[in-house]
Amino acid sequence: MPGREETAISQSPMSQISTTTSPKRDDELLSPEFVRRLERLDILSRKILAGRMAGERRSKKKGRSVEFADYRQYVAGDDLRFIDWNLYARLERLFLRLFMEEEDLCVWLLVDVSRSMDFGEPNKLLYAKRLVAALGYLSLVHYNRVQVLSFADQLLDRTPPLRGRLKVPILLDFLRRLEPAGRGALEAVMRRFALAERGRGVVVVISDFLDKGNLEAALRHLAAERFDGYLLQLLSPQEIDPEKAGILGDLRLRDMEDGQIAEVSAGPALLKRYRANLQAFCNHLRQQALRRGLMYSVSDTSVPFEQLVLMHLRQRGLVG
Amino acid sequence: MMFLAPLSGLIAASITVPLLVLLYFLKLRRREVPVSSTLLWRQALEDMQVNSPFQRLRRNLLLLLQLLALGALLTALARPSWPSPALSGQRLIIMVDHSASMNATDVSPSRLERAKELALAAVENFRGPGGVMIVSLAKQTRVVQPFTTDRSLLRAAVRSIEPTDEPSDWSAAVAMIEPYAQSEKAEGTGDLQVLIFSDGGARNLPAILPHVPTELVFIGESAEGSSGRTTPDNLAITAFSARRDFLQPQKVQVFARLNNFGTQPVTTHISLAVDEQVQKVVTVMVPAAQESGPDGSPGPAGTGTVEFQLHLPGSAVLRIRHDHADHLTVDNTAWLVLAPPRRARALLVSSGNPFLELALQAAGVQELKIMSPAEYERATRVEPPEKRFDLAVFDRFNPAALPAVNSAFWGCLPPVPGLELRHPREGPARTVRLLDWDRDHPLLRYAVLDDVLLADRRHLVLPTGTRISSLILATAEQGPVLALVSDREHGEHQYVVAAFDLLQTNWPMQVSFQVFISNLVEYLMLSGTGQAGLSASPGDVVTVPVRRPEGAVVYEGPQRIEATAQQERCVLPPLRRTGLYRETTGLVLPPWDLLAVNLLEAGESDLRVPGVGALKQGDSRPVQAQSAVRWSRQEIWRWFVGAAMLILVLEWLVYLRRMSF
Repeated sequence: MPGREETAISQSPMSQISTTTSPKRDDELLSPEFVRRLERLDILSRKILAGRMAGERRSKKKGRSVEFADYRQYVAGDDLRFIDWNLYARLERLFLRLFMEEEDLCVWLLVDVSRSMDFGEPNKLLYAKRLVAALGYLSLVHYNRVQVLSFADQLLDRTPPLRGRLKVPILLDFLRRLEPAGRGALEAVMRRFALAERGRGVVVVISDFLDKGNLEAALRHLAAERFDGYLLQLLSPQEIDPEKAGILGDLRLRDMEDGQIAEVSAGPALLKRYRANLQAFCNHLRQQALRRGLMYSVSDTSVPFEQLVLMHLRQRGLVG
Repeated sequence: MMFLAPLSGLIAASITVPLLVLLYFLKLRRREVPVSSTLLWRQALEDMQVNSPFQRLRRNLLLLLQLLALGALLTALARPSWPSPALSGQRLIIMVDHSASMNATDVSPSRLERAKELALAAVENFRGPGGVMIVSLAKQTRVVQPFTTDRSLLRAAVRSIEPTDEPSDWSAAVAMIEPYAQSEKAEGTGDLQVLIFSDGGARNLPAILPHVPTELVFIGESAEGSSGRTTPDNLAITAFSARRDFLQPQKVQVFARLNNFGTQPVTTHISLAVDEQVQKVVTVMVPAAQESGPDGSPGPAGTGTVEFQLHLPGSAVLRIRHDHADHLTVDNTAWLVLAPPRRARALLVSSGNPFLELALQAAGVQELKIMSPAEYERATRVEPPEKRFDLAVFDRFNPAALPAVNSAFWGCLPPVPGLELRHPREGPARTVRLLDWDRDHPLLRYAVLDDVLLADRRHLVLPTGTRISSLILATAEQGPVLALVSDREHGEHQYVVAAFDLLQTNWPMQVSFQVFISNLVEYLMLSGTGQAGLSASPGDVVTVPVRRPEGAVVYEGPQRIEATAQQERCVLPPLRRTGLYRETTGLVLPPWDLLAVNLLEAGESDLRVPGVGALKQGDSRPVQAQSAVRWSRQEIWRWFVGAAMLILVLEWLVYLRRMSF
């Protein structure tokens, strides 16, 4: 099982697997009450990054704001208004005051729409959409530049770069139209993304990460200096505890993505071994993420998603 | 195309085909469940296999299988063999003795079951192309299964051999095999072998067995154990008779003889019951049997006798029984049906013989009718006159047809096929004496014939074959002169035939003549028993008188007997089990509505298995007789080669499975 410090395990009873992934109204993704609470939050970045426009984000670039940043020696041609005369009085040398320039933050929200996400009760894909809607909303209202991309075995679709509160409907409409499709191929997607996006910003990957490819290679692409990466792993209660989902006895398990069959005699020993493997898998993913400077969090979809955003992700430093 | 073992194939198909279908459908019946990914499930499955306690074995499984296959091939190269009964040749005759002595329980569960086990093993081990024939032998020898190579038929035939209480008759068995032996001898192929399973407890174990390789397997305690004389225990009733007093017929004298064939003396209680009510109980001590002779032949059995005096004015059923627990129970009890006292009515057909007339009257006949031959012939045109009488005596007159009652013939013959009177060769007339007579036969009991002289030197030529049974009672130098003949196809009547004219002998002047005539009247009146008590032996064919010429006769008892009456008699099928039988349809005339069947055969009750020396060599081929089956070795390398091939197939399958992972 994922560590307790990373996720809250739902105690709610399991129900049958749902296939509803396409909400029809905006409030199905974000309730008005939740939106009001979201507006107090903003996406945080552990790395202060340069943006293209002056937004509500501090940048490492030294510009003309009210916040003092640093000194440098005066050279002919500098603006005399920024000479620190107090410092000249003390040192009889001319220094310029430098100030932090406020810039916008690029936020890429990558949501996994492979068929494995269309599983569980609550459905992982729907949960992911709501999570992306929340993160996207609070990024937009704080004038961050947001782009949402869907992927499976490749980057499938994306929104245009969005900025400002007025773009929220576009975000929500995009999310509503997302349908599960295809197999997962995380390494290819991350490589493609890293090559295509030359900018700098926060990258949030929302997926179950149940990828049969090379996860380490995938994470390597996100470890670039220009990216502040966050991995949000979503698992359904049925994946965490299969026995409660009726996986018991002699069964043929069919992989929803590639159709592979695993004939199992699911008894206590095998289920115990499965849970241990799941725990090990999540631990391995966390270690790989940490090794590459990425933030990792795993969540059970039975955890109320508001709780996830308002508490858990705040604790993890993604929002604040 | 022929299937030699169709039953085995059907059984295998009935098991494997449904099993295959069941496994197939069981495989299909796994419930399919979609999961987001099988990634972790496959890992879990592999982990389970990796951590399995047999993983180490699994890694080495291929090596183990290869070693097993190699071991099987190397073993096959060493030509392994298996002990099996020595059975060679092209054809085999298996004879199973199911006489009374084979019911002995000194061998568990019985000698017969043991013999059948060995016979089944012989069937399985014989590979000759000519097949096996199964023969059962007791008083009658019967081919249970003709030559066949179908083992299922042979097994069924062996299993169908049921126990009987009959004595064994080896002469009939030898006679049955003799044609095959002669054919074998003529062709000189040496392809026939005979295997006999018996306890050798035969009254007339032949000294000469058939002229083919014969293996006689003795079944019995002394045969199964070591070569020591471990003797089975048996106390048998070997004689049981009753006789009414000649002058006071209501007085009955009952006699019984017991033989002890065990090595220890036996003290037992003998109970005598009349109509199921025990009347008398006596204690008898019977000494042990004597040791076997140096040639292996059994020593004389210990003997004890008992006598009882009863007052029985009418008919009754007598039963005698001892209470000693032994290995054979069939001879522990004997029955007698005591006929009511009755004096005979006799017909004498003679042109004049005062000796016969006086002797018959002195024998106590109730009525004696004398007819001349001419009168007899006239009367015969209407109806055989002897039908009104119990017996008929023909003096120097050959009737044209077989008499309808038991009869005696003096100097003449009944019209029995093959029975002849032969005149002496040319030579001076002289008298002759009797050389030998059957002193134990009821007809000659107490008759001393030493001084009998015969001027009539004719002798009898007796018929052969199975239709006519004949027994020589007395023999003179020229041949048999007195015999007992019976034609089975004509009512089983008994005919005493004397070759000589009574008036040309001095016998009527002898006391033994009257004794003989008294015995003759009693014997013929009681249809050959010579006693007041009636009993038959197992295997006998009994003829009973009936009230009506047609109808079904049913006897209930140890076995159910059914027969159809023909004319005024009914011939019953052979009685295989001892005991008391009661006729249930009322068609049979008393006292024959009750049948007592007793073994009373010392030879059969003697359970001591004869030693090897009891058999003599017959023809040029040695006869093998031993107390255990001779074993030879049968090579079984083919089984090891087959096992090696199977292991290689299994190894290939395991290898393929591993490659698919």
